Amino acid sequence: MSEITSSIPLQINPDLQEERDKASFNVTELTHIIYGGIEKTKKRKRLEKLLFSDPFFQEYQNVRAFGSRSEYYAASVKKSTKIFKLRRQHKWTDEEYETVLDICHDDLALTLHHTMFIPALERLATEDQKSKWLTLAKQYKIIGTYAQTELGHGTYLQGLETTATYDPQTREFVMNTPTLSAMKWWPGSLGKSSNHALVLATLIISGKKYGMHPFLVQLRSMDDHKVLPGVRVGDIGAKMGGNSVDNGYLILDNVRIPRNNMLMKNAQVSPDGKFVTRGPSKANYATMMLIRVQICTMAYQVVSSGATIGIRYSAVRRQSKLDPQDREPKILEYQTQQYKIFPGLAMSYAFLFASRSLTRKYEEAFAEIQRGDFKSLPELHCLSSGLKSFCSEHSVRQVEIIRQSCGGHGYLNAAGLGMLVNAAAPMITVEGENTVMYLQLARYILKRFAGAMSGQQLDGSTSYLSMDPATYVCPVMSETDCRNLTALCDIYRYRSYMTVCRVARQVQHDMESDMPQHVAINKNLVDLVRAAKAHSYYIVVKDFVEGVDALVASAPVIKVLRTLCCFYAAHGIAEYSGDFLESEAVGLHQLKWIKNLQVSLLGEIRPDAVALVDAFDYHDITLSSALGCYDGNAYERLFKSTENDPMNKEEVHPSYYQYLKPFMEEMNKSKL
Amino acid sequence: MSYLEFGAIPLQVNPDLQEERDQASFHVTELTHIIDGGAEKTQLRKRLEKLIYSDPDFRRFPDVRTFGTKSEFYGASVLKSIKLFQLRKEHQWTDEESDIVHSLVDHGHALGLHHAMFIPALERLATDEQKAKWLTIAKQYKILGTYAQTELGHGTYLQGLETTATYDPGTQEFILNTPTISAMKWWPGSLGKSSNYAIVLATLITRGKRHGMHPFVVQLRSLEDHQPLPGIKVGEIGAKMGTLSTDNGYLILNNIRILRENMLMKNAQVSPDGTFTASAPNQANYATMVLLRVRISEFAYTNISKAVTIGIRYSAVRRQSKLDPEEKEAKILEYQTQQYKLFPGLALAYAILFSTKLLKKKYREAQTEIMKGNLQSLPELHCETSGSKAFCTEHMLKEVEIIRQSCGGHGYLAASGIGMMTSSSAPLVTVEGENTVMYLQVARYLLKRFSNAKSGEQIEGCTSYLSMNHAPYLCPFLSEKDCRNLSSLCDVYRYRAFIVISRVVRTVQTDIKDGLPQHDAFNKNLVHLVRAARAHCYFNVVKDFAEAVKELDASIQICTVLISLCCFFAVHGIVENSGDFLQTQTIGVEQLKWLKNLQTSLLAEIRPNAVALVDAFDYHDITLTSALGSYDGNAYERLYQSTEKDSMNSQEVHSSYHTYLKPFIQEMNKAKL
Repeated sequence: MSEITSSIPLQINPDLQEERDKASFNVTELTHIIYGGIEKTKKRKRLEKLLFSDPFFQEYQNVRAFGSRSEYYAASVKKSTKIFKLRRQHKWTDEEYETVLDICHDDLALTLHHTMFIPALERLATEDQKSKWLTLAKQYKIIGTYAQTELGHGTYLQGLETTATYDPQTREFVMNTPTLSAMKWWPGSLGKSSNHALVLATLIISGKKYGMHPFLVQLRSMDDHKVLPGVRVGDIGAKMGGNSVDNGYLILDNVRIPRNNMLMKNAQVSPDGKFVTRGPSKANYATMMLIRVQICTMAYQVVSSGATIGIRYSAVRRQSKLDPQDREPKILEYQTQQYKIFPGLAMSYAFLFASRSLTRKYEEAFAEIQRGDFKSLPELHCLSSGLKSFCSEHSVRQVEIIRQSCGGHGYLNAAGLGMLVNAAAPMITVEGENTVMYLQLARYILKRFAGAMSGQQLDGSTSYLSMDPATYVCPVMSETDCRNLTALCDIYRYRSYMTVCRVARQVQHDMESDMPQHVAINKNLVDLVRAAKAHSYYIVVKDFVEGVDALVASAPVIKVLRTLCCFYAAHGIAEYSGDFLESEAVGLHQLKWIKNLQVSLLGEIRPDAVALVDAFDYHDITLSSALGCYDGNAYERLFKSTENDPMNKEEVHPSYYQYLKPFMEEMNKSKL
Repeated sequence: MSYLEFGAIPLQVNPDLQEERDQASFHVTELTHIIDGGAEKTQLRKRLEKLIYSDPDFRRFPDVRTFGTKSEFYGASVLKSIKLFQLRKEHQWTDEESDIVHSLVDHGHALGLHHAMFIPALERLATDEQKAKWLTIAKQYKILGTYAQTELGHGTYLQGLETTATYDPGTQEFILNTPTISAMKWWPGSLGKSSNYAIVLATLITRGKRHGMHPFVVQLRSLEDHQPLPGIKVGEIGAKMGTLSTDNGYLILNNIRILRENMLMKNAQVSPDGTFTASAPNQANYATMVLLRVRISEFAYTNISKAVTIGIRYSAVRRQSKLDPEEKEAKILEYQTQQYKLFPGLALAYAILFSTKLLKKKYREAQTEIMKGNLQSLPELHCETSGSKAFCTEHMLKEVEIIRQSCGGHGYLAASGIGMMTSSSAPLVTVEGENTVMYLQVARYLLKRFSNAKSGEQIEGCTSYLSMNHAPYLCPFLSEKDCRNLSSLCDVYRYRAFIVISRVVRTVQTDIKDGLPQHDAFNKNLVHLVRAARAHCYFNVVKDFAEAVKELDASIQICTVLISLCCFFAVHGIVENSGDFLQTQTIGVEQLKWLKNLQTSLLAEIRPNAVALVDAFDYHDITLTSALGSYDGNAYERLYQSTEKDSMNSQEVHSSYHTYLKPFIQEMNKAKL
């Protein structure tokens, strides 16, 4: 008998190769589409090669899996410095740097320096201030972060309590954390890494409050990193994920900073304490939206990584019998398994196209904002809030289903899925908690709906609210009609319209029966969220359909994407069928057809499933999954991964000598 | 003002939480007694809590979990096992007492399988002679054992297991082997580092013939120095999302020879010359699996009730944003959306509580029958426990995650305790029978019973409704008020289950009639079969909850609040799955509208009692380990205080500054931009 070893076979698992051989389309073609062209793919591969030729990145995974929190953070600091050096050495563009961050997967300890601190200086500082601090920041003499969220308040910005009181005598601001709940709490890179922070605080001059403004505060000595007097800063503790970053707390006790440390591009305080402003910073607002747009892209990455792992593993795991005469089938053959994984696959492509469309709209709007034209801001706010919530909510849920589809092994860190789930989890609550975001969207929709009712012609994402519902006839007259993407879009649109219309009427009705507005709104919050979700679902389906329609690609690629798109829409109707029936967007017959179609589509997607995730083209180190690696040698890689566990370094764990042995000796001595 | 002194925990209960307690409509202690199963049981639990938590090691344990390395945590967990074993012996705990203690200390500990699986398996599967040999030394902790069944390549599908035990009549020994990489044992708890013995499940081969899976006692490590014996490779399977207190392990056996007597022979024997006899079907073993599933439903209760305790208490002390622009910021519990995230979990906790109480009773009755050799009730029990396990864990995990999200960013902190709850809940959907496989087993049973009913048989038990005459069904809701009727709600669930099942039966039959082989017809309908099983399970849980509430011997206030909760549970389930109910025409669009309105009203009705309803679970603060959910409601102070425990904060300047950051900054400063 040959001994069982943990060596990884050099060949691709034949069960996986078989899948690749039968793909109906050219995977590379789809990869280029996903990344935006052949040059982009090449560039990404070049960066992958550059990074992963350094053995550090492999070691990093082990520290991540088995190290203490503190060791993990230290490895992440090391990773930050490596990447910052490379960034400078290779003069990466922002786009290249973002690609590197995507490839590297989890966040850098110092990540906020480039993603928040420097951009905020660029946006909020005067030219004088920029030449002073931006230069130092780019030289890494100062390492900074952006401190807004407090222990007591997050999304509700008006509730923030930190104060910056102007002292005209010394021409300084006095920064204070007046209560426990006012301490800054959550900002990344704050606890241990940064020596400076942009602190958001309420400006007070002569006892009068002037709203929130950004102040540059030095936290630590630039010589020895010691914390400065009056500053108390530390790590907020272990989290479910994201432990590579030192999310921190910050308490300010009468910390004095020069007047010039208030970033004064949008508002100024003169030496004698006069406040001048050009109105709230819309540019600052645009950054918040940019982050929401980026979360949609992250949601795409999360669910596509999850689908890659789930589908590849399902093609190599064989279990139980379908045909009693046959060998055990791949679990991918089971309809129930397909039903767990293909929604995530379809969602990946849906979010790819939706986030691409959103990014384009953001870029257009941002160009207008730069020219001083803010008219597209409300629409963009509504779109980005809704999609941020929708994409993060759905991707987190779907990745968890995929984790479950991998059975027990999905629970191992080596599977990569648990980490993905935990890393994805905060997307739901950061940068605008999802329910709050949905409600902001709902308010916007209600306003637009009222506009439509009063005859206003709407454009943009809510233009359909001026439709005449009486003209709606369910466009699906037979089972074949259900494959019509335009018809599916119409169904989603009508369902959204009806959901919005009902809650609008309900709120109005409640207000007419003399409820104060805030009571009427609170009484209908659940339905308002439902309306916002229906609207967002429609937008994503529409973006997916339009994205596929506009695609210039070979017939096989278009065919498979149309199938996925159809599945995405049909699955959504089947899953939320109550809503669709209630709004009479479909009837019982249509629902039956759509459910049948959904099952047929599972069978149609099946042969291309592996090719469709191969097209995401994740590097094995990026994916860091024993179950989902490209070669499909899942069991060998799982077994191999155990060698990295420090608990396996010695045959006998130290706790044996410390506890177990003395215990057994004692038990042996005593009588039972 | 001394700003740097934040973090002292106030001695008072947070007034925002006290206010909630003051407005409760019922007596919390009365409900606690109902939950525990009587005042004496509550007292017993409290006595055990006091005993355990007076030991600083037990108090410290959650911190090691949060902040230590995996290996340190395992070490602490070994200590925890030993302390539990010593206490168990010293106080001569009954199984019940032991179960209570385990529920206090988070269920898992390094050597947990010794009492949970190894000893019970010996009791069930060993002959009296074998018992005298091994059970005695196991109870004396001279040997420490586990139960090794699952392999890298196979879990729930037992027929696929590959480990072999080949009998050698020459030496009268079994030779145990791991023939392929996928055959290695993989997952058993306490296997990697802790145990020196294991009961290994392997396919018996004697005289060249296979005789199915049987249990073999295999020594893994030396009793002197704990080194693995020759031919044995054993280790840890690596880091997991949670449950790191136990060393789930792998095991490779290379021509390990064990004595013939090491096969546990109560139900099947191999004689010295290699003759195989089976004296009893292996049903007793089966009963253990069934018991484990009942346990898992109980874990589901523990996890959801802990999570909702955290979520609701925190929502009563966190104030955010304004409802009324004139007022101060509102408790987040006032927002309808927040209630809609929390109250389904609250109702689910009570639903699972009552449903598992009933299930356990049925299990005990069936177990008595089985001991008497009457196996008649086993299929029914199998269906009920599989369905309950899948339903309870699926819904629990979903609600725990929603509750975590309802706590905003702070729910993501380990100190909140709720992330830990998600991670430790996650494996419950895949262990001891993966949920989809469990649902499909329920579905197969339903199909069989359905065809029995069709052929005129009178069906009893949980599927008795399959033989009822449903035509003509009339939706019992004729007005919004009718929707509060618990019997009517049960009827609606029952009818929906009936229709979903009969539809899938028809489809499968049509497919078979159209010439599909049976297995293809099944696979083509797996999604619908799962849906049918879920509908059946949902009906059962609603029914159990409604019946338990009806039969409750309690004050009128308690009954009122539990009826509201039960009604909410049922109504919410219809609203969330409205597509299914509409499609089966159990309800119409008009009824759905009423149900949605009722659901909203019930949120408001439950609201004033929300805190009291979670207080009734009566979790000790250490059991809960949550800064957000502690009894006194001083969430912010406790969060801040928790940061002191993180090793990241033991020095102001982290060591990585000296190793990496400072050299980097210096290098960057030297170079030109």
